Amino acid sequence: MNTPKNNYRLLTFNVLAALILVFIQQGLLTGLPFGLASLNLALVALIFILVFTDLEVAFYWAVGLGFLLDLFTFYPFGAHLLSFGLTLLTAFLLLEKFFTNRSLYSFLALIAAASVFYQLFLLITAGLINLLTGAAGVDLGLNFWLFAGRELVFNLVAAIAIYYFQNFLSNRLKPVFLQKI
Amino acid sequence: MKKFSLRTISYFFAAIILIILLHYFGALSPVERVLERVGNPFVSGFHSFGIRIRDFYDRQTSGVDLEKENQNFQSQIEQLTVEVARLRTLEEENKSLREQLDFRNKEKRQLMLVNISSRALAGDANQTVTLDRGSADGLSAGLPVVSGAGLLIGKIVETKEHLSLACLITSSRCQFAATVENKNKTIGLTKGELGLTIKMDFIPQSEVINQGELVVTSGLEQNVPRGLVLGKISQVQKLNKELWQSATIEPLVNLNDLVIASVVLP
Repeated sequence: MNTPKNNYRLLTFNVLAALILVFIQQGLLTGLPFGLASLNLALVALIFILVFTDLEVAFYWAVGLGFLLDLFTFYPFGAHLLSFGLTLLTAFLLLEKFFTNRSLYSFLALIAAASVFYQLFLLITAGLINLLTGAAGVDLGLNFWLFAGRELVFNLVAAIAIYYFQNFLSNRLKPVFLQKI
Repeated sequence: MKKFSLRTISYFFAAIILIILLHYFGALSPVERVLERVGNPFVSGFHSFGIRIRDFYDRQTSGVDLEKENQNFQSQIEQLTVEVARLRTLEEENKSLREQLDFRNKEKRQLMLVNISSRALAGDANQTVTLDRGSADGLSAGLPVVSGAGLLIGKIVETKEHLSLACLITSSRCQFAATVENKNKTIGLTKGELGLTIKMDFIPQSEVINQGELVVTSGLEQNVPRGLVLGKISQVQKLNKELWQSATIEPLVNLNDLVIASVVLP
């Protein structure tokens, strides 16, 4: 039921979940081996939220995650907020026009596109904010591209894992076949 | 999926722009301060858990012959014991000479203990670390960061109120004025290379430097005291046609499993 008490509970749950996700992203993943720091769990989670709920909920998450990541990282403030917002909008348009949320391949294509667009938006927004605030530009050396490539691969692997986990828990992603009568 | 009007989407982006503007006008500072204060211990905790997993993984996969490694350490301990005894004698001698000359002891450095709360998510993820103290604690760009044992690990490049970003000595962003611990005290400039080693440049061709010699900070930089150990020379590149020679330095500290460090205060 949509009572104020339930709404507050839902809000608290979502805020705590976003905080934990950012702590895992910034703290845990950056300490792990294999270059797992490149995994953008926040982005993968955001796309899952978009696919399984709707754009409105996903937008709230984008604002929350972007704000927290801007606080706990040294990118110019606003770079994550804008990049998450723009990536989400792009993913939403792709999902509406080209992809379905019932196929793993389509889902992976969406994650791959979102990862590429996210890096692109982050680069542009960070560059623009740095330009406006007079800070140093983003280093586009070999490491940046290696990191971006690794992020794409790890995001896809994480998406497959979450997809199958979700598949195991619910029937939502199971294929539905129409029967001829 | 629910349809969304352009108006709803523009409201969201307006909200994002408003948050950014409020941040730059300082209106969000109290909220940000609270979140940083509350969040820092959690980020540090998660990071040290991640480092423990990395350590476990490294131990399982390193395949190092522990017996052989133990023997090497034993022989190193013996050598170091002799060295310590010799240095103690020198220290006493130095102390007495300083007393005679009424020389002020400049070696006492003020250190601030910091937790490494994460590695930056930027492109050079493994070459910058985030510290859980910032400008509010008296930290500023340019201050050196050392490991628990006092070996140099990097330098602060940027600060926020309760966070600092430090580049590691193997990062190309990290440069130090350094000197080789040889007879001539050869000076040069170090810069991280590929996130793995350090390169010391601008060493005059006439200087003789050897593999295995220690490289320390020269003290020619503001806020960086003399004698912070960068590493050992592993290779010397000397070409007659070049104006300068260079050396590759191996860091003595494992930069991958840092959890706690100290900032050398001015």
